Amino acid sequence: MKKVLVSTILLFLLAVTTPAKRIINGVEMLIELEELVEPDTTAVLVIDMQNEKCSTEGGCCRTDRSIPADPDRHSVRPEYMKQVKNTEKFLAAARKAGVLISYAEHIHANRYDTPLATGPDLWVHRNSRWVPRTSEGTWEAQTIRELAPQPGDLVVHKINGNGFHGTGLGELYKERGIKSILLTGTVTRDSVFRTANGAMTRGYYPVFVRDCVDHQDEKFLKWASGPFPMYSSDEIIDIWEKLEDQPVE
Amino acid sequence: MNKFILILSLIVLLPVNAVAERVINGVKVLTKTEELVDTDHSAVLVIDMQNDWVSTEGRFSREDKSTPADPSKHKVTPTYEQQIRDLQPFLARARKEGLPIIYAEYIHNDKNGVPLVCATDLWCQRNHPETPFQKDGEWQGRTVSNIAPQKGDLVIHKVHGDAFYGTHLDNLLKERGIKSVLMTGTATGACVLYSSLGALDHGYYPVFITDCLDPFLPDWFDDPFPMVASKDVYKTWDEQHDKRAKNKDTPAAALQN
Repeated sequence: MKKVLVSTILLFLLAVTTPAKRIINGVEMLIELEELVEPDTTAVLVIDMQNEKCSTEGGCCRTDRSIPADPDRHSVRPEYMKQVKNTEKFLAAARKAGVLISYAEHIHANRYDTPLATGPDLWVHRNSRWVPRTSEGTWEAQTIRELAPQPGDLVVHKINGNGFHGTGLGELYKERGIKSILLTGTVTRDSVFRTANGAMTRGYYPVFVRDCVDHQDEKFLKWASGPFPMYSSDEIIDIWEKLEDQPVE
Repeated sequence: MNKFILILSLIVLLPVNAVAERVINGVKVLTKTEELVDTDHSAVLVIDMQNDWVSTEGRFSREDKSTPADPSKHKVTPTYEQQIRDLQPFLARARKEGLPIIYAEYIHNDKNGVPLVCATDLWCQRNHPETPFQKDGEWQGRTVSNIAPQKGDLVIHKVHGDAFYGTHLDNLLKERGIKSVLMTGTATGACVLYSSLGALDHGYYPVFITDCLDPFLPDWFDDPFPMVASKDVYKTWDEQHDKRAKNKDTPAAALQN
């Protein structure tokens, strides 16, 4: 009798702890956070965290653009301070867990200052007082040094919001067996969202890392947590740390 | 003397007729409604107005799902009634103006029931009791008869929310010299939204025709895309006709002749 009871409890526990496979229309999908951040099949993507937008020396803050930027005077813009701190910690944890780190940097013009953007992409800026403009190879176009890429990281240059469009990023992920992309960066409702759509259509799970994207539009973030997975960096780091504690079989 | 007046009037008329160009970062951007819905370079996209969603006999409205759908009983569900009423004249007028009409239909499974969709696209349905399941060739997967495609229209099947990805929509639009895609259909906060992002990726202006879309706009939508009501599109087209008719009699046209 006791044996039956024990095995029943065991069975019950198993059923509860094993991630339930969710199959919709004959298609199996990853639901549990553990599956969505599995180090071997996950990449972190840092989007548009470039000096132009995030540095006090970027085009966003220098009203007189005829004066060149002074990288020595760089500090992170106050509105990005918290997000950058969270992202620094998140990237360190991801590197420790062996997760692939990738960057998408927005380039508006090439080295010869020829514009690369299209009209439809710039429509959104029609009433903006300031429009970001990064030329390839300039300091403004680089990711801020706090989050700078390290040897072995992937860096692609994108010419519109979507980090997958015309960049080869999808192929690079495919080659590395990546299934889900942890999205960090800015602007959340523009480039990050458009990259999320790019990931989804290419068969990658876009996971928003809530405290590593900007919060310029809370309404959008609340909406996006419906169609997309969204977790805090701490929740994800917790899972990676637990994995490291597990003895190697 | 006559020639002098002609040239003078030309100089005066030119700036009036020409739309002020908006240049951002060295790139020309269409910002005015008359540029964005110009009959010369616009196409209409009708997204996912399929029986499964829009019909009373579709999967989401039919109470008794054990019996097969009965197309003869089809009616538009209350949710879509007004939208269909606005969409019908819009499509009629757009056809009259010679705009390409393109239907994008979401097909989830092939004729044999084999899934064509990605898990990542279905992820948002993970907690829904009822998920869409349009099989190629079935009545459920077809656009409702009230706005059925007509001879000369284009119909594409898509397997993502985004009508541009994995389809030849871009080629069809490019070949026809299209710059703006007038977005109509459903769901405004999903397939229409994702197709708009696809349009941007491929260099087209997505223009939301507000009354020809389902009314469930996401609450963060202030103006991420150009938005125009169909009545304003008609007005713009009327004005365009007037202007073009007048231009025929201008000195500029006279000179060309």
